[in-house]
Amino acid sequence: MKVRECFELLAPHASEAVVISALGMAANEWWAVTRSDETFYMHGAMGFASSFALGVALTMPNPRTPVWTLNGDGSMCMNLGSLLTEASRQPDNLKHFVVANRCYQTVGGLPMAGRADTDYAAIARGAGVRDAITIRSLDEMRQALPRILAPGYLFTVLEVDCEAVPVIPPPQPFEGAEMKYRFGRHMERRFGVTVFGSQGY
Amino acid sequence: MPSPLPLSSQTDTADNYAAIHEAVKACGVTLAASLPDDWMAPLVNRLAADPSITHVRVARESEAIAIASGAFFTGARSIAVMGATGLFTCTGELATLNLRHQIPVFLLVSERGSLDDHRIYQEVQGRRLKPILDALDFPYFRIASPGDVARLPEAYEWCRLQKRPVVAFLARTLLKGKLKGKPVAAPAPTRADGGAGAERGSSR
Repeated sequence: MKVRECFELLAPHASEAVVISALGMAANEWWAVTRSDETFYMHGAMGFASSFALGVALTMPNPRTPVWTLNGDGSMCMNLGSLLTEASRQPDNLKHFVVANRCYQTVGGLPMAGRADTDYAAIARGAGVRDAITIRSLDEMRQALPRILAPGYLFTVLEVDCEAVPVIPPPQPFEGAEMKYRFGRHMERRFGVTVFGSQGY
Repeated sequence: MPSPLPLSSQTDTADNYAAIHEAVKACGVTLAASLPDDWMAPLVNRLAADPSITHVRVARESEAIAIASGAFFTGARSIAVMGATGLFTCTGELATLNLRHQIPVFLLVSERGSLDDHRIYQEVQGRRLKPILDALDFPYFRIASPGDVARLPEAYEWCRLQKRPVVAFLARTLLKGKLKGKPVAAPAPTRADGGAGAERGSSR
């Protein structure tokens, strides 16, 4: 399964979701598919986008609004302990997707540590996550969509191909503080919350 | 592990922990993410028991940074609570998440490595932490008295204005009382209590 095709299937169902993406391939591919500037593309802190999303999910003004984390397996493996934290909460509105290609794609597909058959869903279950699934094809993705879109916490591993060459789609043409303000202003408009004060900070 | 020093009893400073807790509430905080050291544990227990605060126990301190940062975007007020050793491990995430994206995050951190902290496990990171924060241009200040505690809400607002991590170091005198007595040798860790791993755990 190609990550681009996988995201093309997923993206039309994201209109209700608040989306947080880890840096690297997940962010770049999501941007390529959606051109969404309502997504928070974390440009650093590799491994902590899922923690950031947990903070969003736990404090959403409407706790039924879905929060999606688009994580990478390289990122997740830098912060495996966060699965224990996430498992301790498992908010109903949080959907954690792990784009698993077993390699560092943006640097040329160099393999990650571990075995090709490392079972990320089993790792999540071992951490205490109740509901974890693995999707290996677009057909499985289509079949899983109702479960993905239903209320309730879900940890979903998306097994995608590792390409033999660097794959670096054009990244978002904004970064840093602009990323903060685009996402924060979107949250204010959509949910009526006050992220920034009267003086704009 | 037993303390190597005859410390003040915790009840001496219980009022201070209560005051810090009240100051956190006065900041409007509704989410706290934490990983305690022994100085911060009583505060963490108070936050965890407070129904007005969503308290998240994390497995690594940088998670607390990221969780608090995410909560910022829903308009929630959040804090990260940890020991100085934990903050020492967070510098990469604080730089590449909070500095890069200019996201404020308010941290309550034990001031380990101070003159009145004679725990050997805290010396290396405790004394070097503030120069690292200086290098990153992350403001910090000491909270050493009840009067300082009362200024925490003011500091919280100032943190948002700074658009970056701001650290409130909680002094030993506030959390543990004044150091009493002369240092005595710490009992050597044994295999039964985990050796060096237990030393690190007990210091957190």
